[in-house]
Amino acid sequence: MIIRFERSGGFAGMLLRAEIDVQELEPHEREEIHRLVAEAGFFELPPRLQSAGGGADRFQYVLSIEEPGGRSHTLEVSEEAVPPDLQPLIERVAYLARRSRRQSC
Amino acid sequence: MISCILPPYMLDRIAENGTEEQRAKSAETARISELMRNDRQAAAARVVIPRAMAAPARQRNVYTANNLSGLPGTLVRAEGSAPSGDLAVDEAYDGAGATYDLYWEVYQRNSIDGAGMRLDSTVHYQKGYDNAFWNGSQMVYGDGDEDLPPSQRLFNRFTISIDVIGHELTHGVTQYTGGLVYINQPGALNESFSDVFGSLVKQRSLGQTAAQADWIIGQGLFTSNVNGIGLRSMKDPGTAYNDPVLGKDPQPGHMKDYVTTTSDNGGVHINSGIPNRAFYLIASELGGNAWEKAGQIWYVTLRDRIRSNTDFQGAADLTYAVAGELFGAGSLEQQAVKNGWAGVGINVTGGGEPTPTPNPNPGCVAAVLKFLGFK
Ligand SMILES: [Zn+2]
Repeated sequence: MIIRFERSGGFAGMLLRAEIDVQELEPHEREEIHRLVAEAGFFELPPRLQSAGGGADRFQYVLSIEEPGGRSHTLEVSEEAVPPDLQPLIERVAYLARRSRRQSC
Repeated sequence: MISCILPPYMLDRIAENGTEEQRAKSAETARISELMRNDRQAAAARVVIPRAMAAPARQRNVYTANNLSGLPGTLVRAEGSAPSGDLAVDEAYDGAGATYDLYWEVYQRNSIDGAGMRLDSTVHYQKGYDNAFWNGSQMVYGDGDEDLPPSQRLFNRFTISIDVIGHELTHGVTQYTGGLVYINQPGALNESFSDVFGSLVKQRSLGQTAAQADWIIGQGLFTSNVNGIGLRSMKDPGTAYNDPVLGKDPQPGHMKDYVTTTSDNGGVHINSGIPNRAFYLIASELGGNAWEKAGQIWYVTLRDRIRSNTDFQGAADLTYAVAGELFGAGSLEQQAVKNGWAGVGINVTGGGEPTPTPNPNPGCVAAVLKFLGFK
Protein backbone atom coordinates (compact mmCIF):
# COMPACT_ATOMS: atom_id res chain seq x y z
CA MET A 1 0.00 0.00 0.00
CA ILE A 2 1.31 3.41 -1.04
CA ILE A 3 0.11 6.60 0.65
CA ARG A 4 0.74 9.99 -0.86
CA PHE A 5 0.11 12.90 1.44
CA GLU A 6 0.16 16.60 0.84
CA ARG A 7 -0.65 19.28 3.41
CA SER A 8 -0.77 22.96 2.46
CA GLY A 9 -1.96 26.16 4.11
CA GLY A 10 -1.84 26.68 7.85
CA PHE A 11 -0.31 29.63 9.69
CA ALA A 12 3.11 28.86 8.23
CA GLY A 13 1.79 28.37 4.69
CA MET A 14 4.32 25.58 4.13
CA LEU A 15 3.88 22.49 2.03
CA LEU A 16 4.36 19.14 3.78
CA ARG A 17 4.56 16.27 1.34
CA ALA A 18 5.35 12.58 1.77
CA GLU A 19 5.11 9.28 -0.04
CA ILE A 20 4.84 6.40 2.37
CA ASP A 21 5.34 2.77 1.39
CA VAL A 22 3.33 1.13 4.13
CA GLN A 23 5.12 -2.21 3.66
CA GLU A 24 8.34 -0.55 4.81
CA LEU A 25 6.87 0.55 8.15
CA GLU A 26 7.35 -1.37 11.39
CA PRO A 27 4.77 -4.16 11.69
CA HIS A 28 2.76 -2.43 14.42
CA GLU A 29 2.70 0.82 12.43
CA ARG A 30 1.69 -1.06 9.28
CA GLU A 31 -1.18 -2.75 11.07
CA GLU A 32 -2.32 0.54 12.55
CA ILE A 33 -2.42 2.22 9.14
CA HIS A 34 -4.45 -0.66 7.64
CA ARG A 35 -6.88 -0.43 10.54
CA LEU A 36 -7.23 3.38 10.28
CA VAL A 37 -7.80 3.21 6.50
CA ALA A 38 -10.57 0.66 7.07
CA GLU A 39 -12.14 2.61 9.96
CA ALA A 40 -12.13 5.80 7.87
CA GLY A 41 -14.02 4.03 5.08
CA PHE A 42 -11.46 5.81 2.94
CA PHE A 43 -12.33 4.19 -0.40
CA GLU A 44 -15.99 5.09 0.02
CA LEU A 45 -15.33 8.79 0.65
CA PRO A 46 -16.05 11.29 -2.15
CA PRO A 47 -13.06 12.80 -3.99
CA ARG A 48 -13.60 16.21 -2.45
CA LEU A 49 -14.81 17.34 0.97
CA GLN A 50 -15.18 21.05 1.64
CA SER A 51 -16.93 23.00 4.34
CA ALA A 52 -18.51 26.42 4.17
CA GLY A 53 -17.17 27.10 7.65
CA GLY A 54 -15.24 30.32 8.07
CA GLY A 55 -11.97 30.76 9.85
CA ALA A 56 -8.38 31.15 8.75
CA ASP A 57 -5.01 29.39 8.79
CA ARG A 58 -6.56 25.94 8.38
CA PHE A 59 -4.79 23.12 6.54
CA GLN A 60 -5.82 21.59 3.24
CA TYR A 61 -5.03 17.94 2.61
CA VAL A 62 -4.68 15.74 -0.45
CA LEU A 63 -4.51 12.07 0.46
CA SER A 64 -4.03 9.29 -2.10
CA ILE A 65 -4.01 5.61 -1.21
CA GLU A 66 -3.13 2.82 -3.62
CA GLU A 67 -3.61 -0.80 -2.69
CA PRO A 68 -1.30 -3.30 -4.40
CA GLY A 69 -3.12 -4.53 -7.50
CA GLY A 70 -6.36 -3.17 -6.12
CA ARG A 71 -8.27 -0.05 -5.36
CA SER A 72 -6.94 3.44 -5.37
CA HIS A 73 -8.56 6.67 -4.29
CA THR A 74 -7.62 10.33 -3.95
CA LEU A 75 -9.30 12.64 -1.46
CA GLU A 76 -8.99 16.40 -1.29
CA VAL A 77 -10.26 17.66 2.04
CA SER A 78 -10.10 20.91 3.96
CA GLU A 79 -9.25 20.51 7.62
CA GLU A 80 -12.58 21.74 8.95
CA ALA A 81 -14.40 19.23 6.73
CA VAL A 82 -12.47 16.14 7.90
CA PRO A 83 -15.04 13.55 9.08
CA PRO A 84 -14.44 12.25 12.64
CA ASP A 85 -13.75 8.73 11.34
CA LEU A 86 -11.02 10.05 9.03
CA GLN A 87 -9.34 12.26 11.62
CA PRO A 88 -7.15 9.54 13.20
CA LEU A 89 -5.80 8.48 9.79
CA ILE A 90 -4.96 12.09 8.84
CA GLU A 91 -3.19 12.63 12.15
CA ARG A 92 -1.22 9.41 11.80
CA VAL A 93 -0.15 10.08 8.22
CA ALA A 94 0.78 13.68 9.11
CA TYR A 95 2.92 12.26 11.91
CA LEU A 96 4.72 9.91 9.53
CA ALA A 97 5.21 12.77 7.07
CA ARG A 98 6.62 15.09 9.74
CA ARG A 99 8.88 12.31 11.00
CA SER A 100 10.21 11.47 7.56
CA ARG A 101 11.01 15.02 6.50
CA ARG A 102 13.96 15.22 8.87
CA GLN A 103 15.09 11.63 8.25
CA SER A 104 15.02 11.86 4.46
CA CYS A 105 17.34 14.82 4.56
CA MET B 1 -17.84 51.74 19.87
CA ILE B 2 -19.85 49.76 17.38
CA SER B 3 -20.04 51.41 14.04
CA CYS B 4 -21.64 49.80 11.06
CA ILE B 5 -24.41 49.99 8.53
CA LEU B 6 -27.78 48.39 9.17
CA PRO B 7 -30.05 47.62 6.23
CA PRO B 8 -33.64 48.91 6.42
CA TYR B 9 -35.25 45.53 7.12
CA MET B 10 -33.14 45.25 10.22
CA LEU B 11 -34.13 48.73 11.34
CA ASP B 12 -37.75 47.62 10.94
CA ARG B 13 -37.08 44.60 13.05
CA ILE B 14 -35.53 46.59 15.86
CA ALA B 15 -38.10 49.38 15.82
CA GLU B 16 -41.16 47.16 15.53
CA ASN B 17 -40.26 43.94 17.28
CA GLY B 18 -38.14 45.17 20.12
CA THR B 19 -39.41 44.49 23.62
CA GLU B 20 -39.81 47.34 26.08
CA GLU B 21 -36.65 46.16 27.78
CA GLN B 22 -34.72 46.17 24.58
CA ARG B 23 -36.01 49.60 23.71
CA ALA B 24 -35.13 50.88 27.13
CA LYS B 25 -31.70 49.36 26.97
CA SER B 26 -30.37 51.86 24.59
CA ALA B 27 -31.28 55.30 23.43
CA GLU B 28 -29.85 54.14 20.17
CA THR B 29 -33.00 52.16 19.49
CA ALA B 30 -34.98 55.38 19.59
CA ARG B 31 -32.49 57.02 17.33
CA ILE B 32 -32.89 54.18 14.87
CA SER B 33 -36.66 54.71 14.85
CA GLU B 34 -36.12 58.39 14.25
CA LEU B 35 -33.77 57.63 11.40
CA MET B 36 -36.46 55.47 9.88
CA ARG B 37 -39.15 58.12 10.19
CA ASN B 38 -36.92 60.73 8.65
CA ASP B 39 -35.49 58.68 5.87
CA ARG B 40 -37.59 55.65 5.06
CA GLN B 41 -36.02 55.30 1.65
CA ALA B 42 -32.45 55.32 2.87
CA ALA B 43 -30.62 52.26 1.73
CA ALA B 44 -28.87 52.10 5.05
CA ALA B 45 -28.17 54.08 8.17
CA ARG B 46 -25.03 54.34 10.18
CA VAL B 47 -25.48 53.18 13.73
CA VAL B 48 -22.98 54.30 16.27
CA ILE B 49 -23.26 53.04 19.81
CA PRO B 50 -21.26 55.19 22.20
CA ARG B 51 -18.27 53.54 23.76
CA ALA B 52 -19.51 54.08 27.28
CA MET B 53 -22.56 51.91 26.69
CA ALA B 54 -20.59 48.81 25.79
CA ALA B 55 -18.73 48.47 29.06
CA PRO B 56 -15.16 47.65 28.07
CA ALA B 57 -13.59 44.78 29.91
CA ARG B 58 -11.28 41.99 28.95
CA GLN B 59 -13.05 38.65 29.00
CA ARG B 60 -10.74 35.73 28.37
CA ASN B 61 -11.23 32.00 28.66
CA VAL B 62 -8.41 29.57 27.97
CA TYR B 63 -9.24 25.91 27.43
CA THR B 64 -7.18 22.79 26.87
CA ALA B 65 -8.08 20.27 24.18
CA ASN B 66 -6.00 17.68 26.11
CA ASN B 67 -4.27 16.79 22.82
CA LEU B 68 -7.60 15.83 21.24
CA SER B 69 -9.72 17.60 18.60
CA GLY B 70 -12.77 18.69 20.58
CA LEU B 71 -13.38 22.45 20.87
CA PRO B 72 -13.32 24.39 23.03
CA GLY B 73 -12.21 21.61 25.42
CA THR B 74 -11.82 21.95 29.19
CA LEU B 75 -11.69 25.41 30.77
CA VAL B 76 -8.35 25.94 32.52
CA ARG B 77 -8.14 29.66 33.11
CA ALA B 78 -10.99 32.17 33.17
CA GLU B 79 -10.69 35.96 33.32
CA GLY B 80 -9.10 37.17 36.51
CA SER B 81 -7.88 33.82 37.74
CA ALA B 82 -4.26 33.22 38.71
CA PRO B 83 -1.64 31.86 36.29
CA SER B 84 -2.20 28.16 35.73
CA GLY B 85 1.44 27.14 35.57
CA ASP B 86 0.79 25.63 32.13
CA LEU B 87 3.02 27.69 29.82
CA ALA B 88 0.76 27.48 26.75
CA VAL B 89 -2.35 28.38 28.77
CA ASP B 90 -0.71 31.40 30.35
CA GLU B 91 0.83 32.60 27.08
CA ALA B 92 -2.57 32.37 25.35
CA TYR B 93 -4.14 34.30 28.23
CA ASP B 94 -1.51 37.03 28.32
CA GLY B 95 -1.29 37.33 24.54
CA ALA B 96 -5.06 37.69 24.20
CA GLY B 97 -4.88 40.38 26.91
CA ALA B 98 -2.14 42.31 25.13
CA THR B 99 -4.10 42.11 21.87
CA TYR B 100 -7.32 43.25 23.55
CA ASP B 101 -5.36 46.18 25.04
CA LEU B 102 -3.96 47.27 21.67
CA TYR B 103 -7.42 47.29 20.12
CA TRP B 104 -9.07 48.99 23.08
CA GLU B 105 -6.46 51.44 24.30
CA VAL B 106 -5.18 52.55 20.90
CA TYR B 107 -8.13 52.06 18.54
CA GLN B 108 -11.07 52.16 21.01
CA ARG B 109 -12.32 48.83 19.73
CA ASN B 110 -13.93 46.68 22.42
CA SER B 111 -12.82 43.17 21.48
CA ILE B 112 -13.17 41.16 18.28
CA ASP B 113 -16.75 42.15 17.51
CA GLY B 114 -16.50 45.68 18.89
CA ALA B 115 -19.06 44.69 21.51
CA GLY B 116 -16.98 43.05 24.21
CA MET B 117 -17.04 39.50 22.87
CA ARG B 118 -15.28 37.00 25.16
CA LEU B 119 -11.90 35.89 23.79
CA ASP B 120 -11.81 32.11 23.77
CA SER B 121 -8.55 30.25 23.19
CA THR B 122 -7.80 26.53 23.16
CA VAL B 123 -4.27 25.18 23.60
CA HIS B 124 -2.80 21.66 23.39
CA TYR B 125 -4.88 21.00 20.27
CA GLN B 126 -4.31 17.48 18.93
CA LYS B 127 -0.88 15.84 18.99
CA GLY B 128 2.04 17.08 16.91
CA TYR B 129 -0.10 19.92 15.62
CA ASP B 130 2.28 22.50 14.16
CA ASN B 131 -0.29 25.20 13.56
CA ALA B 132 -2.56 27.86 15.02
CA PHE B 133 -5.89 28.92 13.57
CA TRP B 134 -9.08 30.94 13.97
CA ASN B 135 -12.15 28.75 13.49
CA GLY B 136 -14.68 31.54 13.05
CA SER B 137 -15.37 31.95 16.76
CA GLN B 138 -12.20 31.17 18.71
CA MET B 139 -8.41 30.84 18.60
CA VAL B 140 -6.71 27.44 18.61
CA TYR B 141 -3.04 26.56 19.19
CA GLY B 142 -1.02 23.39 18.72
CA ASP B 143 2.10 22.32 20.61
CA GLY B 144 4.31 21.98 17.50
CA ASP B 145 6.30 18.77 17.01
CA GLU B 146 6.21 17.76 20.67
CA ASP B 147 5.48 14.14 19.67
CA LEU B 148 8.78 13.76 17.76
CA PRO B 149 12.23 13.16 19.31
CA PRO B 150 13.91 16.51 20.10
CA SER B 151 16.44 16.09 17.28
CA GLN B 152 13.62 15.89 14.72
CA ARG B 153 11.45 18.74 15.97
CA LEU B 154 11.07 21.79 13.75
CA PHE B 155 8.26 23.67 15.54
CA ASN B 156 7.76 24.79 19.12
CA ARG B 157 4.36 25.49 20.66
CA PHE B 158 2.47 28.16 18.71
CA THR B 159 1.72 30.38 21.72
CA ILE B 160 5.44 31.06 22.12
CA SER B 161 5.23 34.10 19.86
CA ILE B 162 2.86 36.87 20.93
CA ASP B 163 2.39 38.07 17.35
CA VAL B 164 0.86 34.68 16.47
CA ILE B 165 -1.81 35.37 19.09
CA GLY B 166 -2.41 38.90 17.77
CA HIS B 167 -2.54 37.43 14.27
CA GLU B 168 -5.24 34.87 15.11
CA LEU B 169 -7.35 37.33 17.09
CA THR B 170 -7.15 39.81 14.21
CA HIS B 171 -8.69 37.19 11.90
CA GLY B 172 -11.71 37.60 14.15
CA VAL B 173 -11.62 41.40 13.84
CA THR B 174 -11.42 41.10 10.04
CA GLN B 175 -14.35 38.69 10.07
CA TYR B 176 -16.43 41.30 11.92
CA THR B 177 -15.27 44.27 9.81
CA GLY B 178 -13.82 44.11 6.30
CA GLY B 179 -14.83 40.46 5.88
CA LEU B 180 -12.06 39.79 3.33
CA VAL B 181 -12.67 36.47 1.57
CA TYR B 182 -9.90 33.98 2.19
CA ILE B 183 -8.59 33.54 -1.33
CA ASN B 184 -6.15 35.20 -3.72
CA GLN B 185 -5.48 38.93 -3.14
CA PRO B 186 -8.33 39.56 -0.68
CA GLY B 187 -7.11 36.49 1.24
CA ALA B 188 -3.51 37.72 1.21
CA LEU B 189 -4.76 41.08 2.51
CA ASN B 190 -6.67 39.22 5.24
CA GLU B 191 -3.41 37.50 6.15
CA SER B 192 -1.49 40.75 6.00
CA PHE B 193 -3.87 42.60 8.34
CA SER B 194 -3.34 39.73 10.80
CA ASP B 195 0.44 39.97 10.49
CA VAL B 196 0.35 43.77 10.81
CA PHE B 197 -1.70 43.87 14.00
CA GLY B 198 0.06 40.76 15.34
CA SER B 199 3.37 42.54 14.94
CA LEU B 200 1.94 45.74 16.47
CA VAL B 201 0.86 43.76 19.55
CA LYS B 202 4.43 42.55 19.90
CA GLN B 203 5.99 45.95 19.26
CA ARG B 204 3.71 47.67 21.76
CA SER B 205 4.25 45.02 24.42
CA LEU B 206 8.02 45.48 24.02
CA GLY B 207 7.80 49.27 23.76
CA GLN B 208 9.61 49.24 20.41
CA THR B 209 9.54 51.93 17.75
CA ALA B 210 9.29 51.01 14.07
CA ALA B 211 13.06 51.34 13.82
CA GLN B 212 13.68 49.09 16.84
CA ALA B 213 11.23 46.32 15.90
CA ASP B 214 12.42 43.13 14.17
CA TRP B 215 9.23 42.91 12.03
CA ILE B 216 9.47 39.11 12.25
CA ILE B 217 6.32 36.99 12.45
CA GLY B 218 6.70 33.87 14.57
CA GLN B 219 10.07 34.50 16.15
CA GLY B 220 10.78 31.56 18.47
CA LEU B 221 8.45 29.18 16.64
CA PHE B 222 11.31 27.25 15.05
CA THR B 223 13.45 24.93 17.15
CA SER B 224 17.23 25.19 16.95
CA ASN B 225 17.10 22.44 14.28
CA VAL B 226 15.89 25.01 11.75
CA ASN B 227 17.96 27.66 10.04
CA GLY B 228 15.62 30.62 10.36
CA ILE B 229 14.59 33.42 12.70
CA GLY B 230 10.85 33.13 12.15
CA LEU B 231 8.14 32.37 9.61
CA ARG B 232 7.90 35.70 7.83
CA SER B 233 9.76 38.99 7.65
CA MET B 234 7.60 42.05 7.04
CA LYS B 235 10.72 44.14 6.57
CA ASP B 236 12.37 41.83 4.07
CA PRO B 237 9.93 39.19 2.83
CA GLY B 238 11.61 36.01 1.62
CA THR B 239 14.46 36.09 4.16
CA ALA B 240 12.92 34.66 7.34
CA TYR B 241 14.28 31.14 6.84
CA ASN B 242 16.42 29.11 4.50
CA ASP B 243 16.64 25.52 5.65
CA PRO B 244 17.60 22.18 4.09
CA VAL B 245 14.36 20.55 5.29
CA LEU B 246 11.86 23.42 5.07
CA GLY B 247 13.32 25.14 2.05
CA LYS B 248 13.46 28.89 1.61
CA ASP B 249 10.93 31.49 2.72
CA PRO B 250 8.81 31.93 -0.46
CA GLN B 251 7.37 35.38 0.29
CA PRO B 252 7.64 38.15 -2.31
CA GLY B 253 8.10 41.77 -1.21
CA HIS B 254 7.19 43.36 -4.54
CA MET B 255 4.45 42.97 -7.15
CA LYS B 256 6.98 41.90 -9.77
CA ASP B 257 7.51 38.71 -7.73
CA TYR B 258 3.80 38.03 -7.06
CA VAL B 259 3.26 34.26 -6.81
CA THR B 260 0.41 32.72 -8.80
CA THR B 261 -0.60 29.39 -7.27
CA THR B 262 -3.70 27.40 -6.40
CA SER B 263 -2.09 26.06 -3.22
CA ASP B 264 -2.76 27.75 0.15
CA ASN B 265 -5.99 29.34 -1.16
CA GLY B 266 -4.04 31.09 -3.87
CA GLY B 267 -0.96 31.78 -1.78
CA VAL B 268 -2.59 33.84 0.97
CA HIS B 269 0.38 33.23 3.30
CA ILE B 270 2.83 33.93 0.48
CA ASN B 271 1.67 37.11 -1.25
CA SER B 272 0.84 38.73 2.10
CA GLY B 273 4.54 39.66 2.01
CA ILE B 274 3.69 42.47 -0.43
CA PRO B 275 1.20 44.44 1.73
CA ASN B 276 3.26 43.49 4.81
CA ARG B 277 6.28 45.27 3.37
CA ALA B 278 4.16 48.25 2.28
CA PHE B 279 3.09 48.66 5.91
CA TYR B 280 6.66 48.33 7.12
CA LEU B 281 7.84 51.00 4.66
CA ILE B 282 5.08 53.41 5.70
CA ALA B 283 5.65 52.89 9.43
CA SER B 284 9.39 53.33 8.96
CA GLU B 285 9.01 56.53 6.97
CA LEU B 286 6.72 57.97 9.65
CA GLY B 287 8.99 56.85 12.47
CA GLY B 288 8.05 56.48 16.13
CA ASN B 289 5.60 53.83 17.28
CA ALA B 290 4.12 51.96 14.33
CA TRP B 291 0.80 51.36 16.09
CA GLU B 292 0.11 55.08 16.34
CA LYS B 293 -0.08 56.62 12.86
CA ALA B 294 0.43 53.73 10.43
CA GLY B 295 -1.60 51.38 12.66
CA GLN B 296 -4.42 53.91 12.93
CA ILE B 297 -4.59 54.29 9.15
CA TRP B 298 -4.67 50.51 8.72
CA TYR B 299 -7.26 50.01 11.45
CA VAL B 300 -9.69 52.65 10.20
CA THR B 301 -9.32 51.29 6.66
CA LEU B 302 -10.09 47.76 7.83
CA ARG B 303 -13.02 48.88 9.97
CA ASP B 304 -14.71 51.24 7.53
CA ARG B 305 -13.51 50.77 3.98
CA ILE B 306 -12.29 47.29 3.22
CA ARG B 307 -14.84 45.08 1.47
CA SER B 308 -14.88 41.31 1.10
CA ASN B 309 -13.26 41.45 -2.35
CA THR B 310 -10.81 44.34 -1.91
CA ASP B 311 -7.53 43.65 -3.73
CA PHE B 312 -4.03 45.11 -3.24
CA GLN B 313 -4.71 48.11 -5.47
CA GLY B 314 -7.97 48.74 -3.62
CA ALA B 315 -6.24 48.54 -0.25
CA ALA B 316 -3.59 50.99 -1.45
CA ASP B 317 -6.21 53.47 -2.65
CA LEU B 318 -8.28 53.10 0.53
CA THR B 319 -5.38 53.51 2.95
CA TYR B 320 -4.32 56.58 0.99
CA ALA B 321 -7.82 58.05 1.25
CA VAL B 322 -8.03 57.28 4.97
CA ALA B 323 -4.61 58.81 5.62
CA GLY B 324 -5.86 61.98 3.93
CA GLU B 325 -8.96 62.06 6.09
CA LEU B 326 -7.11 61.39 9.33
CA PHE B 327 -4.05 63.57 8.79
CA GLY B 328 -4.96 65.90 5.95
CA ALA B 329 -4.74 65.79 2.18
CA GLY B 330 -1.13 66.08 1.12
CA SER B 331 0.08 65.49 4.69
CA LEU B 332 3.37 63.72 5.37
CA GLU B 333 1.33 60.73 6.54
CA GLN B 334 -0.61 60.54 3.30
CA GLN B 335 2.59 60.92 1.31
CA ALA B 336 4.19 58.10 3.31
CA VAL B 337 1.29 55.80 2.42
CA LYS B 338 1.77 56.59 -1.27
CA ASN B 339 5.51 55.99 -1.02
CA GLY B 340 5.10 52.72 0.88
CA TRP B 341 2.81 51.19 -1.72
CA ALA B 342 5.03 52.49 -4.52
CA GLY B 343 7.89 50.65 -2.81
CA VAL B 344 6.16 47.35 -3.47
CA GLY B 345 5.15 48.24 -7.02
CA ILE B 346 1.64 49.59 -6.44
CA ASN B 347 0.85 53.15 -7.48
CA VAL B 348 -2.00 54.75 -5.61
CA THR B 349 -4.73 55.86 -8.00
CA GLY B 350 -7.48 58.42 -7.52
CA GLY B 351 -7.32 61.58 -5.50
CA GLY B 352 -7.92 59.76 -2.25
CA GLU B 353 -11.49 61.05 -2.05
CA PRO B 354 -13.76 59.43 0.51
CA THR B 355 -15.84 56.60 -0.89
CA PRO B 356 -18.68 56.26 1.61
CA THR B 357 -20.32 53.08 0.43
CA PRO B 358 -22.29 51.04 2.96
CA ASN B 359 -20.55 48.17 4.66
CA PRO B 360 -23.02 45.28 4.58
CA ASN B 361 -20.87 43.19 6.89
CA PRO B 362 -23.09 40.68 8.69
CA GLY B 363 -20.69 40.27 11.59
CA CYS B 364 -20.94 43.93 12.48
CA VAL B 365 -24.71 43.89 12.18
CA ALA B 366 -24.82 40.82 14.42
CA ALA B 367 -22.73 42.64 16.99
CA VAL B 368 -25.13 45.60 17.02
CA LEU B 369 -28.12 43.30 17.34
CA LYS B 370 -26.44 41.41 20.14
CA PHE B 371 -25.69 44.64 21.93
CA LEU B 372 -29.30 45.71 21.63
CA GLY B 373 -30.41 42.40 23.07
CA PHE B 374 -31.69 40.70 19.93
CA LYS B 375 -30.80 37.13 19.23
ZN1 LIG C 1 -3.65 33.84 9.32
